[in-house]
Amino acid sequence: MISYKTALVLQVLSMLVTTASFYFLAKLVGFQSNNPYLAQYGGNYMSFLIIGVIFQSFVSVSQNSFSSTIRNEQLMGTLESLLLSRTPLYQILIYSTLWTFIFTLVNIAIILAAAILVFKVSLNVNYLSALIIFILSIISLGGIGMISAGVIMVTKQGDPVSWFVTLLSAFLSGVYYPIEVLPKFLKSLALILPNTHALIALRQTLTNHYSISQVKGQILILVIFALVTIPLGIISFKLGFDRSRKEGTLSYY
Amino acid sequence: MIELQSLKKVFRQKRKEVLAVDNVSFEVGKGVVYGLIGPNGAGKTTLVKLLSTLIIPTSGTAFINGYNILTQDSEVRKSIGLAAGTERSFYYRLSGWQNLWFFGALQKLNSNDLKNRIESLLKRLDIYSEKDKDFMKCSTGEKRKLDLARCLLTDPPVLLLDEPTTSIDPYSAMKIREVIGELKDKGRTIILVTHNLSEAERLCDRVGIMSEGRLVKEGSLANLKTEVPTKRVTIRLEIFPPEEFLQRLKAFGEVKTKPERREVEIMLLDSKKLNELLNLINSSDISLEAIQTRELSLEEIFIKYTHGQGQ
Repeated sequence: MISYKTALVLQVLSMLVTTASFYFLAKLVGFQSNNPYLAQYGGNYMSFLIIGVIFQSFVSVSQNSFSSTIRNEQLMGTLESLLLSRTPLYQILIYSTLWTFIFTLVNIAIILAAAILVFKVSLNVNYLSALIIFILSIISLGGIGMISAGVIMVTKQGDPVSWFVTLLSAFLSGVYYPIEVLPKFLKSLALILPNTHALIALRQTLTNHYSISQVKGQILILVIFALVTIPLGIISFKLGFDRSRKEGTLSYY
Repeated sequence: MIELQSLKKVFRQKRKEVLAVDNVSFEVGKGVVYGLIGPNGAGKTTLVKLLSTLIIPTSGTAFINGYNILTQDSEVRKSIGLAAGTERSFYYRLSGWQNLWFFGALQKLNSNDLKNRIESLLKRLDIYSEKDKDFMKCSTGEKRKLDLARCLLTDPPVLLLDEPTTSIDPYSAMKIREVIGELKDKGRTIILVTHNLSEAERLCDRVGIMSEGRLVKEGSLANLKTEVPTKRVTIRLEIFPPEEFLQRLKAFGEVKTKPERREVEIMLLDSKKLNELLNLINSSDISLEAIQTRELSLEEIFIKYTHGQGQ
């Protein structure tokens, strides 16, 4: 158990150091900047960064936890034993992911607490609309996560779907800078990603107290993404699973 | 209880096709222990994985407990217990008890039943005192016992046991064989993959010999022995016979000699020719001191049908 505790402590320390780094970055830019790019997000770069990073950690969990659970079971050789149980694999994946979500929530709570109490970040939260955006984001990104899980069933190592979406998300979705700073063609590409819309809406609901009606455009986009990615994810996972069974590679790693 | 219908599996590996299981058909009735023997790479483990729905067949199908492995895979999984004989199917950092608890919970057993079941299985397999030991610290024998215990958690009617006693100490192997014997007495249907032919002779009602993906012979041990007309005949003579006499003996089958003991062993290809052999000896000038005949062991039958593959 000592290795798990060590990992937990190191993770929390990393989070605190990251938050402190954001503080100094924000200090460089100016805490209450007149920068026009930041104006629509309340003008505070520290809160902009904190929300971006919190969101990115959920993006990572939503998109990677299904495939990383499969990958871990492949590496440990337990995947076949799990499949032989009376609990369907999708349920096992959801339970494992729930644990990761809880762990991530704890991390986020620590970051937020540090940001608010130590670094004096002020938020103006509309809890209901933030919660709706948050849940819709998880669902639509979870669909992409299921596509990744289907791919990892076959490729074993290297998950191009997750890699591509996570990279694009960090680069284009406005995690570290508003998408308004991007060249026009990259901005168009950014608007194809559900992450971009989710992050814009999340920032507005967390810093500007936007109501549901003020973020209804983003809500509609996230619902459409969810309606597309979830069925695609289920189909992809089924195809990957069956292909692995056909090739007899369930126990391979 | 188990019925295989022309089950076939072809794997594609680097642009070539490997025929792992080739049109295998057989039936195993309720309460029967069916031994699957064959050299390494014969397709036994692939066959077990096909039956447990972990691999999808290329063609053909099988029914387990009345359920089709192609269309009713979740019902098939509920009807079977698989001891895959591989260590890499447990969580190394969890203890034996924790592993069994985890897999038992996934089998949707309630806490009380599960606790009692794990306790009785671990006691029966003589590893209760090691229940809290991390799996990674368990001996191979303990790991095999845990593998068997896990597949018995739900007390399924069909058991697929893939080399449950390979590479373990004699005491653990004996304990596992005892438990398999008890399961047989309880009417469980078992497919037992084994390299240990004396184990197959002791535990199995019927045996299938696999070679290069095909089921080359199958049936009860008694039938297999009568279908192979070969007998091993050992004669001890008054004097060790001259070469000319040995040549005449070779007409009956393969001959091995032990001159110092004045013995000749003949692998009689047709047991009906035993009288002819005796007549030959009686008509010679050499007196017969002793004669011993015996049927081939399963091991010898196995080698005969697999042409000594895997030796």
